[in-house]
Amino acid sequence: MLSLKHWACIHKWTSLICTLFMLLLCLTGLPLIFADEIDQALGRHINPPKGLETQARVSVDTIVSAAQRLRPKDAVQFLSTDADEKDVWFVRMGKTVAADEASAFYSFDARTGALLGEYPLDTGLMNIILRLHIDLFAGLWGTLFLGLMGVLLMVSLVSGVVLYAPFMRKLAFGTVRYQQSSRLLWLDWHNLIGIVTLIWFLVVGFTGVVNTLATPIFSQWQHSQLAQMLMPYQETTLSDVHVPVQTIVSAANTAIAHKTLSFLAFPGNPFAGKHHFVAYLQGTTPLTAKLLTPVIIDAHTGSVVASAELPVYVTALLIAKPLHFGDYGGLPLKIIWALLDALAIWLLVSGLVLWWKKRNTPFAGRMATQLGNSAHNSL
Amino acid sequence: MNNVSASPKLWTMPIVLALLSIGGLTSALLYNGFGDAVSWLALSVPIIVCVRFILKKG
Repeated sequence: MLSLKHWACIHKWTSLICTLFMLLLCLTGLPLIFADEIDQALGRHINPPKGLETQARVSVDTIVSAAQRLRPKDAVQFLSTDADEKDVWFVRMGKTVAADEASAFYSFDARTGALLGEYPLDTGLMNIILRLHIDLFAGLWGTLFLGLMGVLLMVSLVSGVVLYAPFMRKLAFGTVRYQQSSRLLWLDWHNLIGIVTLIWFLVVGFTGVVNTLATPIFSQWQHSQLAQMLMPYQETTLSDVHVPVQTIVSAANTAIAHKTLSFLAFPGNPFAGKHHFVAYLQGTTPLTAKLLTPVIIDAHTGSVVASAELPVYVTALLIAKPLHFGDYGGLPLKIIWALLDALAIWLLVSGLVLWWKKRNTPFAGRMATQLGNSAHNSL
Repeated sequence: MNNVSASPKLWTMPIVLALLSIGGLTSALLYNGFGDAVSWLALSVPIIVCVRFILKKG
């Protein structure tokens, strides 16, 4: 059993190492919560024109070839939909079909085939904020480093809960001592905000850590389950000609009851096969809409050849996304996310202030003066 | 921690707030409409509690 002194040491060092990075993440996370709203306000996201009361859809091939005409040298990598915007098709292009980086991201009106807009890639203030939040401009290693800082945050939060008990033993919940020293005031704020926001901060922190593992998680899946499903077709060499993309999309949408296309990976992409499209289907309930079922479709016949449930570790990542972003309960939930994020910033700052004010006093001595003799004896 | 059982009062509010937070975080994930509303209400409580005690001078 660790003594309080050990827990205090764990709390101090895990916090000290991760706090500045967590402050950066909380501050950059604040505008990112509202990324969609900001995109709308800046005119980067163009809504499909209203008043066009038609259920008719142009063939997706019209849209794919329109995108291809805009960038003749590039390749279409993904075609995707948004459950909230059924009248829009999104097209992601890359220098090659397998390229990691996107070269363009277009939105098209699904009813008319008209180009709605192009998302600016790698430019603008929001992009800087996003990169600071996800990889510190250092690629995968930056992302994994932030994940490690997130693990330290978890340890810091848990050790903080252990320390909450001795600090609060003689105080009523929510005590804030304004009349005494400023140190006690910061301490009371720290204890109050820490314990009240604990679950939210743990969940957002943990799901953030899971998100930092997205690239290794998908890579692991591509090299195991997906590779296995495509194994029977490894040796076939066929021409690049495939059936119309519309045939693929229709096959995907009818492959499994109560599941519709979320996005379609084009042959040659790591998310697809050499000669196969892989359609990723989503369910229709709030929870299953976050999950994906891959369906493998032969590019030359347009027929479904296999489908599978994703393994638990990929599903965990898919569930972690909304729980980190706070984008699954409308604008009010986003506002709540922002307020809790502001409290988390206050928690981090108060922790720093407490350390700064007493950085030369050993923790055990501080605890003793704070808690009186009873607590001191147990240290 | 040997004091967990010794001072149930200490943990009453933290446990209530933790349960509310867990309920709020999951309800919007599982249900639209009503589930969203439950999550707004439940997750507002920690914020209100924080603000209330911080503003309560004296």
